[in-house]
Amino acid sequence: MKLSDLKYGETARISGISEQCQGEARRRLLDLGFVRGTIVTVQNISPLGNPVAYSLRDTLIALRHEQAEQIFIELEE
Amino acid sequence: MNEICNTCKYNTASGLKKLGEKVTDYDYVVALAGNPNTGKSTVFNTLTGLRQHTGNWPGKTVATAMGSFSYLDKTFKLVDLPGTYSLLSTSEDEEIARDFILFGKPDVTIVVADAGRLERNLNLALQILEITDKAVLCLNLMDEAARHGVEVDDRTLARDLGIPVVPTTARSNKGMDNLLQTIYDLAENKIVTQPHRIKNVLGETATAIEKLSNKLTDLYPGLPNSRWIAMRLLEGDTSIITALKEGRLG
Repeated sequence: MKLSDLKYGETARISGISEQCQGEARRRLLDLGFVRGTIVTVQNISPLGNPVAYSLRDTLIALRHEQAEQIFIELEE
Repeated sequence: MNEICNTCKYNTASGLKKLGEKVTDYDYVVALAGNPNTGKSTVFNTLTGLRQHTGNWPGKTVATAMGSFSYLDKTFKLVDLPGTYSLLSTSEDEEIARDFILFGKPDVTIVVADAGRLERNLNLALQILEITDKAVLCLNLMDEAARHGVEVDDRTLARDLGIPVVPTTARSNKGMDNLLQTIYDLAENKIVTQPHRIKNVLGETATAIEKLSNKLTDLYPGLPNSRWIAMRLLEGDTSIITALKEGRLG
């Protein structure tokens, strides 16, 4: 499952970043805290549905749909 | 405050003179680094007496601001760096922060961290400790953390990081006396730090880092961060490669 598939109200654990995402883009996501094992929830959805603000490690980070697609997650109970 | 406090030796803040924008003739350079929105500019203003714009949104400081203060017998130039999550990214403001810590060679680096969001903030702290060993962690926004029910064991943190940790609430001037004294002691080499460094690098990477780092120290004896620079060179970091070619590292 991808982060872009996460719905409002659901909680997920990040399992990794796609191999397609390399170099600076990957580095940036890791720096922002999208690392394996991190718990993430959807906090706000912009009027057009893109970007989406995610809450992780006590901070809000907004990602575009294309970026959220690169992040793999597992749903948490 | 009672008048007698100003001359009391236990009131360490009494040794502080806010010198504002006057940045000529200083003994030491001190850099303020940290994640966005942790209160770097507030610490800056409290120490220098300046009114550098503070605001509760990330990305407010995009260039560096400078000011100075004197404490006891020494004068310090304080540099307020843009907030950054990492020293490895390549956005403009993050590069300003990194280049200053790396090439500006501050005598002391203050890492300002949000006490309530330590998990996120320590990433940058650890990266800074890879580059410099004269650093202090300023555990800021303690009031906010307490309001959210967060308690921080600053002593254990200091032991694990190998650098002094000072809890502060810069907005209401709490803990600033301790911070001043720690900055002074670090600059004067009265505190010896043993910063935490990455150790679990294995196999060929470790050998390559070792080799490259030895070559770097041959070139620049006394380079405190040869291992970190070796890692960046192996990653193909263009700004570090350029700096090495131009001889800006040593």
